[in-house]
Amino acid sequence: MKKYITKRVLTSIMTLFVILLVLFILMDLMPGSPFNDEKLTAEQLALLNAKYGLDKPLIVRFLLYVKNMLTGDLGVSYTINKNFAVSSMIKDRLGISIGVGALAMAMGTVFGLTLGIVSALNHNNWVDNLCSTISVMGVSIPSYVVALVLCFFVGYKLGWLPILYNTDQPFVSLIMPALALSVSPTANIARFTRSEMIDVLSSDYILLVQSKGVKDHKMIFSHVLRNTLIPVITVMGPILVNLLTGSSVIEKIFGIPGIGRLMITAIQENDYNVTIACAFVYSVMYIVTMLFVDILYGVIDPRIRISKEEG
Amino acid sequence: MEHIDHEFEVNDFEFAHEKGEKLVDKTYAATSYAKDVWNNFKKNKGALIGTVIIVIITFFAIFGPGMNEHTYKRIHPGQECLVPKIPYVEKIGLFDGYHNGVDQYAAQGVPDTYYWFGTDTQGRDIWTRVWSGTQVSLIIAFAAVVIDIVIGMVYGLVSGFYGGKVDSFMQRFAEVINGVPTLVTVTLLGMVLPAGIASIIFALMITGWIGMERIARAQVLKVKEQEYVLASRTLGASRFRLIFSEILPNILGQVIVTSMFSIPNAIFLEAYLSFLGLGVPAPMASLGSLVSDGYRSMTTFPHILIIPVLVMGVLMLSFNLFADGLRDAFDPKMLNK
Amino acid sequence: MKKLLTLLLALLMVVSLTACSGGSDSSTSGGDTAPASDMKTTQSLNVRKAISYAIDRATLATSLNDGSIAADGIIPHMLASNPETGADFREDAGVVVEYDAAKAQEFYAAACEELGKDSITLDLLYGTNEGDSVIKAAELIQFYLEEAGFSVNLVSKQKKERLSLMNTGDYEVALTRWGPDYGDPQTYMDLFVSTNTSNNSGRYNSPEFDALVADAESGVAASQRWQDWIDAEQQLVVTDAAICPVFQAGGAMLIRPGVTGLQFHSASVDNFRHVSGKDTITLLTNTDILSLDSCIATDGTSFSAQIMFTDGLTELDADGNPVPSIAESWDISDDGLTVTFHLRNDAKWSDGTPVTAADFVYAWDRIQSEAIASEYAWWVSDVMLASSYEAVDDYTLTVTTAMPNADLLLKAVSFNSSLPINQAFCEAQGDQYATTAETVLSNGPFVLDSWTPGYSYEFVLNENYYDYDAYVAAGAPSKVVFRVLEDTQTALMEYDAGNIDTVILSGEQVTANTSKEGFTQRLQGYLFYLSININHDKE
Repeated sequence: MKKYITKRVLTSIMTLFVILLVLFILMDLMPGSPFNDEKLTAEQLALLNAKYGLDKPLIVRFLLYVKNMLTGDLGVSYTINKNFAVSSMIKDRLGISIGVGALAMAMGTVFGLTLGIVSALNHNNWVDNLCSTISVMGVSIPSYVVALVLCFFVGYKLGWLPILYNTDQPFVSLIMPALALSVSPTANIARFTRSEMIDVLSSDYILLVQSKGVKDHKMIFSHVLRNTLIPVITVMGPILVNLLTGSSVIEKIFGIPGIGRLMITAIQENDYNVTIACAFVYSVMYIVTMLFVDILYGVIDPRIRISKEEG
Repeated sequence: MEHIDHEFEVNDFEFAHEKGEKLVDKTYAATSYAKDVWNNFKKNKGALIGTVIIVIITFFAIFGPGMNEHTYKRIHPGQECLVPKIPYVEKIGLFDGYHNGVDQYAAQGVPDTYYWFGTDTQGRDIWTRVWSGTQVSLIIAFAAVVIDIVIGMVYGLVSGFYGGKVDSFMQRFAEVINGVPTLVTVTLLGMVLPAGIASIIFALMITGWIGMERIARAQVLKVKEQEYVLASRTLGASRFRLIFSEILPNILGQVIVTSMFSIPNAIFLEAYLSFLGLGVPAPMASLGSLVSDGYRSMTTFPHILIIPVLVMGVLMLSFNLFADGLRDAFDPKMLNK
Repeated sequence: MKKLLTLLLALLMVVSLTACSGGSDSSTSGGDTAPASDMKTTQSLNVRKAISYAIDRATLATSLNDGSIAADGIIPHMLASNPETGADFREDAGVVVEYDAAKAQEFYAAACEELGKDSITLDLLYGTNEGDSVIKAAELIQFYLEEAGFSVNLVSKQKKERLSLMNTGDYEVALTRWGPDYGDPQTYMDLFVSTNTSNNSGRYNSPEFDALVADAESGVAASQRWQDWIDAEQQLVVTDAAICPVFQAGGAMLIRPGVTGLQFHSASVDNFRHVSGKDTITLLTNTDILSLDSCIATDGTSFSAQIMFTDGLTELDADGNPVPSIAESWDISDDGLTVTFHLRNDAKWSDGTPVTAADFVYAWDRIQSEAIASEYAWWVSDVMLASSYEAVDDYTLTVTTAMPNADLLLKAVSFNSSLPINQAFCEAQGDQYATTAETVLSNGPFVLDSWTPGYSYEFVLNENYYDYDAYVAAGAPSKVVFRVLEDTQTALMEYDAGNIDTVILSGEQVTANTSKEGFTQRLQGYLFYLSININHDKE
């Protein structure tokens, strides 16, 4: 097991390194320059490029970046907050995005599991159809429309919750954005839970437990649920990463200073350092989550561990 | 152990039922796999409704834009934001072109014109825009999904079948692509490539195939150790033959189901791109671009938002119902429980 | 290594795909007959005139519905006034571009004949992230040009890419804009002289136009200069039809009744320091500050934020005239070449040090230095026309100009690029100067209290300000908050719920809100025009 984990961690680090290089190349392909404002002359452009080292070849910039990154220096912003350290920008904004994302994930998990389990237990009757329809509706309308409708009715017309994000009441004002964000994970988790649970319910070992006369609810919670949750956890990994790294659309609508909006603005403004940093934060979270899920899976299910060690 | 000396007599056993009738196995007509699937699918009402709606929407996507005299790009200065007005229906007070108690059409000097779904903020006919937008969205989604299937399935099959070093390398490569945020690649491609349907399809394809690849690979891993593959292998079948004639047919069901789920995803991602201003180039419309345009008028002229949202929502719902039905049909376990 | 190669290969595919399609984009197809000459479409005066006559600017501006108005020429309304009569430039120059569908079709027919083509296709480049009005305007321009006979391909790009395409001459017709830096026609005319390779993207090259601009800038009498500008515009827009003005941007907003004192300048920076009406006022901004450093900032939001907490030599009043600020008074020498500013001796930075003439000299040196590489490096030499400047003593500053320029100079020193900077503090902060609220000093009526990027920035009234009592007497708020909100829909809800005191309305929202109390329409200085690539070969 130790050998497997070490190997897995090492390959993950390699993957991250390659991703960083890819990001660098992508930045290089990006049309336009961070500085070509209407009022800039060609000489000034050259000066700025020299000042920020953008006149150096790609590979030199990449190596310099990696070197600086190891000391925690992610460079400075070129356009969004000129000359400000990117690491500070990320630090401030990531916290808020993680807050909204975690809240949305919690909601999505609770709603999704409930819908999925209720659906599966009432397989093929009207309750199942109702639950399935509710969860499918969640992925039928773009989240920005859901967010706007929520804002208009719950926030503006009814006044139950603050319309926009507000630092004075961070938790309360994040409920609505989290709710809007949780719609799609709810649907995905519900659907996956339903099919996994139906699978488990019809498997031989559950039939065995049933035939032994174990009372229904006890059986469900001790056997079915546990075996349903393992595969569900694997789909939750990527969903979680997507939520924690912020949704630019939701952040724009609710006025949240999060990392998702920052990344889109950075791409549109050609702010290379900020784009790379935001994207890399995502990559790190993604790779680490995948690693974690893989290892966790190995711990839970010895069959996988063995087959992976062999592979 | 004590030896039991016992001999059976003729009358030791007798039929349980007095009449001594014999049980005969019922024989069913042999049905093909496809027929099985179809029979299962038919039983699912939701899936049938979904299919019918998809057919209807596709019909309108093809013929809708030609049903009136307007075109999707013709701007009518002065006729902006008119509410829907439909002949005959207007007589019962519905869709009669009145907004806030004023006949908008008369106010703009066009009392005899009919915009069935009203006009947008540029004075363009929403009816033709919605249906040509649906057409564009469907084309994007289908093209993206077909390419996903081809690339993802081949990639997953090869990776899963060969295993070992090949698999490990191919998986790392997929991980790199997936590790770069979809938004970064898609947004960047949206900027690098010239605006157009082809570019959007390409952008969606770049990241879209990963999901398919995973499914295909997982299925291969499951199938490849099974007896019939082993048998085929021992009989000397080539790798190519193994992959394409033994394994492929057995994972096709799962792949088709996954691809049906990825059609709504593609339409959604395109809508997201539109919201960021990276969607189809103006004046072309897609469902996504119509929704994100309508978004800005939601509190003032809601019809500009509601109509494309409804079409999009119903289409999504139908695809999901259809895909759900298909999955259940392919997997009989889901039905019989 | 293998991985790397595969990746590079994939990327290569993307690049080549772009290159291919990019190439086919720029070629203009022109019917079946071969062109008579290898003349570029846009080199034909008939084509350019057809474009100019084709666009119904008034209807287009009305369709935008955000207070924009038709452009009557390249110089916007309310930019500059006649030095003698005080009349607006547009009153004197009149309407020089007009809509005439019949003439447009005539010129189009003549152009087809001249070029030997059956039809003419134009590529219209525009930015997709430059506001909804730009996208709408591009679609309307396409519509009007097609009415005249052209076929038009819309080429949509992000702003940064649009600019770089224009810089390299890789475009045919582009919808672009210019925001004036100061209230003089020069800020527009300088864009199109043949020597300006940065802004004259179409490489318009007219000796007559160049001569008129040179004459105006040679120190001639004010009335002659004024006439030169009128003639230059005529030459550029009418005679040569080298560019095609389309519309002047407007802005519609709601201001909470009772809140007053917001000054909007179409030719300069919006000034919000005189706002009053409540104890805490929350203003909406749809973009965040990009830089607090007056030498680095280039956008209106940053400029407006900087003048909340920084006093310059002069300040512009509500009508755009310079009034004393740090400079209590000034003398102009008889030859008009030297202006001596007398600084007040009670102005202090927020760290307690006095504001002196040296602070201005340092700032002006700094903005021109290579190390800063400011986009406004030319401000001191090209607008203030300062050939030299000197701190005679702590409270006396002289500026010598190459030619008489006092009127413009007094306005120019109110602008951000001329604001003072405390040398000791700035150098102590090094690279981090003005990156946060803590790393910048204030000497103005407000102090920058906090800045949460992407969320808000807050100012509190400066108790140590020399004019503090006057501000309090005028009902200045103790706190002014700027809330960053990009989404116009939720921002309007937030305004209606009473949480913010101003809101900017999008074109879609205007009609439903015109009857509300506090509805305000303003005219901005931005003039949108079609840049036509006449001579700029693709680099």
